[in-house]
Amino acid sequence: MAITSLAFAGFVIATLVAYHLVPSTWKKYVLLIASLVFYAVFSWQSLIAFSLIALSNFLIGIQLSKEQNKTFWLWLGILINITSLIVFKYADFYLPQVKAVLENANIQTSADGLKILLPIGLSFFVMQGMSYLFDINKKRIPAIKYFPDFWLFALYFPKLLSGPMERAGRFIKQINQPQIVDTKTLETSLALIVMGTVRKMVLADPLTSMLPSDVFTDPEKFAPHLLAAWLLAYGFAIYNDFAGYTNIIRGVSGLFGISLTQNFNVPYFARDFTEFWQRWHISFSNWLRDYIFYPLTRVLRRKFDRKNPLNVILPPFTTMVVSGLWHGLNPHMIVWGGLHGLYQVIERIPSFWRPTIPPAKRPKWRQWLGGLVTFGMAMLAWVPFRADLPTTWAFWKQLTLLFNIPILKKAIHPRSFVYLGSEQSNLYRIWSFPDLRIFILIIPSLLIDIWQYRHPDINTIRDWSQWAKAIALAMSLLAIYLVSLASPQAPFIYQGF
Amino acid sequence: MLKLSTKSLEISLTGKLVLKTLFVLIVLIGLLEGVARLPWPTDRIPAPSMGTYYIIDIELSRLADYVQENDGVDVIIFGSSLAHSGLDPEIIENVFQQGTGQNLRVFNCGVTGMSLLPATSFVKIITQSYNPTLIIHVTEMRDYSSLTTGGLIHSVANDPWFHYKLGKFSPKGWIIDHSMAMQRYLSFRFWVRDDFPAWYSLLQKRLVDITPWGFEADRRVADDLNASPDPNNEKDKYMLDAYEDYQVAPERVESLKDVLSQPDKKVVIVEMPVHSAALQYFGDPSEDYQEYITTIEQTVQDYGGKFISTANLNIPNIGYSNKFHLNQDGAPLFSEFLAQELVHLYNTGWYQP
Repeated sequence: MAITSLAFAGFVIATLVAYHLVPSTWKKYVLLIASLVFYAVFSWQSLIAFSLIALSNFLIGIQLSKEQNKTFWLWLGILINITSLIVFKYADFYLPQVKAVLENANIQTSADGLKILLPIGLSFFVMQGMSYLFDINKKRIPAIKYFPDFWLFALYFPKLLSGPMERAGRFIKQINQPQIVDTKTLETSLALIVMGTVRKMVLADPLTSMLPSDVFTDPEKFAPHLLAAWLLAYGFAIYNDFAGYTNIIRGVSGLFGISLTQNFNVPYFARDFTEFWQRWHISFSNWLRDYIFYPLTRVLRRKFDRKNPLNVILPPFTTMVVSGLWHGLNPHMIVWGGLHGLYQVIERIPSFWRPTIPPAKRPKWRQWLGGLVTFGMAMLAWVPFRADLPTTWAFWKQLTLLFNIPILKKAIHPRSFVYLGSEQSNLYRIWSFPDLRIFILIIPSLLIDIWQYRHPDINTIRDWSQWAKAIALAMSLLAIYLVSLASPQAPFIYQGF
Repeated sequence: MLKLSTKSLEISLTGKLVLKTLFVLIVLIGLLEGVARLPWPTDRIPAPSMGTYYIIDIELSRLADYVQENDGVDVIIFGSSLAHSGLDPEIIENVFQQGTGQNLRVFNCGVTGMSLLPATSFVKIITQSYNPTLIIHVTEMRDYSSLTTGGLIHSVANDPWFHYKLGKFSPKGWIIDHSMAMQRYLSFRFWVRDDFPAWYSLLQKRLVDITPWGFEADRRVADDLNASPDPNNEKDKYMLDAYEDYQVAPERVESLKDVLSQPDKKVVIVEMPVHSAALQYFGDPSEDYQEYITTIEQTVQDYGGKFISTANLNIPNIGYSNKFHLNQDGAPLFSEFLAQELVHLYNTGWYQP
């Protein structure tokens, strides 16, 4: 049940009707049943697995709150969560090795026989479960004593597939005292849903489906300027896909009077990488900050001077490598995370000789320059996010030809053979200029971003005149309908995590 | 004002926003419709589309232009790519004029993949819209096999515009049929695909190549016509599997009967002159061929149509682009042959334009 499908819309409407009609004490049970049904539609086996992990986190949470053997219970909880992540998510990584070992022992297996179904949204589910245990351990929140409450926190259907990663304290308070959905909340929620659907269906899906299938497998085929354009397309596709998903989900949850964390705040307008990670996948970044970056910083500061290079290098680098590992147990994902870590380390070097100035207080030219550099480097980092390491290297190498003017001149000539040295020549694609479609789609994406940048609070949409709302809504509906006729079909990119 | 109120819900809706949104939508659609109805350069911009297949769109657009230019059409040729690139109406018109002194307005509406089964719907729609006096349908053995399942069979069967035109109401079909803005947009409906630039470039070529008579010359020449089918070759294997046990399928004969039953129209079924080597795909070539000819000839006769056999038409190897398709050298020969047959039908009084 894709969240942009009519089936999901029907499911939400049916749940809304039931939710708002039943007495207050029953509302959370309506949400729980809806969440269980929603996930069972994807896979009832995964639902059982998730429920068991949720039960173990719930029980361990209670034990942690009893203040006895806390270390044991915390490590047991971490072990269960990490093990479930490894067993399900990283099956592709270890199954070939298991198969080889079994075959060496003359035990015949088939790949299908060993294949384990990856529950959708597992990574989000596990991170959320672990944060719950950490927070109880640190006494930031009390343990939840009632399993249906915890079950709903773990499986709440709007956020189940790809987050945002909610913190238990804020969420439980909301399900027990839901906000009344008034006309203003309805307006904001619908605005989020429309904006999210536009981002996903009108911008992200077309950008994804127009990417040539070989751009991230055979980059040498492409002239450098075309490669740069397609990388830009990918960068905007992944952003609009995930931001669109989050908008829709926040809007849907708002209709139940439950507010979910904002996950994106125009990240491509960030002026440095510290700010980028405060704007990109915010709930995940906060998780990494609270449970890896801060604890590691505290440990290092106890042992080393504040300006010790280890203090500057290790926390951001380790945090971002973990972020890469969370996305996938692949060398290229580690490089993606490592690259983001490296960017942040480089940004911190001036802190050795002068205090760090927040981006907003820097001179305008530095803000612009910082923004452009951050955007460019974030784009370059998407290459290892999408392609394996040899291809990443080939991609970057090919991009360096952008600075080789004689080659570039030839490359923009239709059907040109370009001599690359060492007797190597490439026949570049016949379309010598970057595909216009990329820019047609990026412009509206930027316009939405500019509006969001100037109005970080979505509620300001209520101040629009009714005619402005009507024009925006009509244009959005028309665009969604027209793009749906072109049938670009792309699953949510982050649903794979 | 609509008020919804429960313990968790306090909503009052005036409906003004909905009405205003509807108004803006109507204005936007009106603007788009106006722009779509401006004259667009037909040799650069894809033809307005019904959303099925771009060659159908080009043919429909060319046919509309042809009818406007010539004040009507007498003969419409139907069939698959074999007809599309095999019969040049310009030649047929000239030969007919020379042979009878009569003007004949002929249009080739052959479409790649339009085998007999989907063609029955297409023939009905086009015939109702343009009212020709004579329908020529070009078929060959494969059209009558139940194993011929590719081409446009599924897309036509599931197409909302086809459904609407055949009398089954479909909202989408209605919009497509009435909105030029929609037709213009559908002609670019592949804009999100990665192969769109390549497709668009191919389309530009075909927009130039397809003549105002709907004919498109095939410039390829078959390199090895007499080579035996190779079971290791994917295409050959498909053909061998499909036609080794060839039989004329009753349901395909029913489709032929549908074509023959156009009210107040003369119908001619023409045998496509495929290369003799094409028979190698059939398990029992001469027997299969005979079964096909006898069944079709008899059916056509029963329904008052005419069957034109091309058994005596000799097309040299250089006139084929492959075992089934004629190229730019073969098409004029087939066109002249058919024109002479039409002259004969005219002289016998069977057909008067």
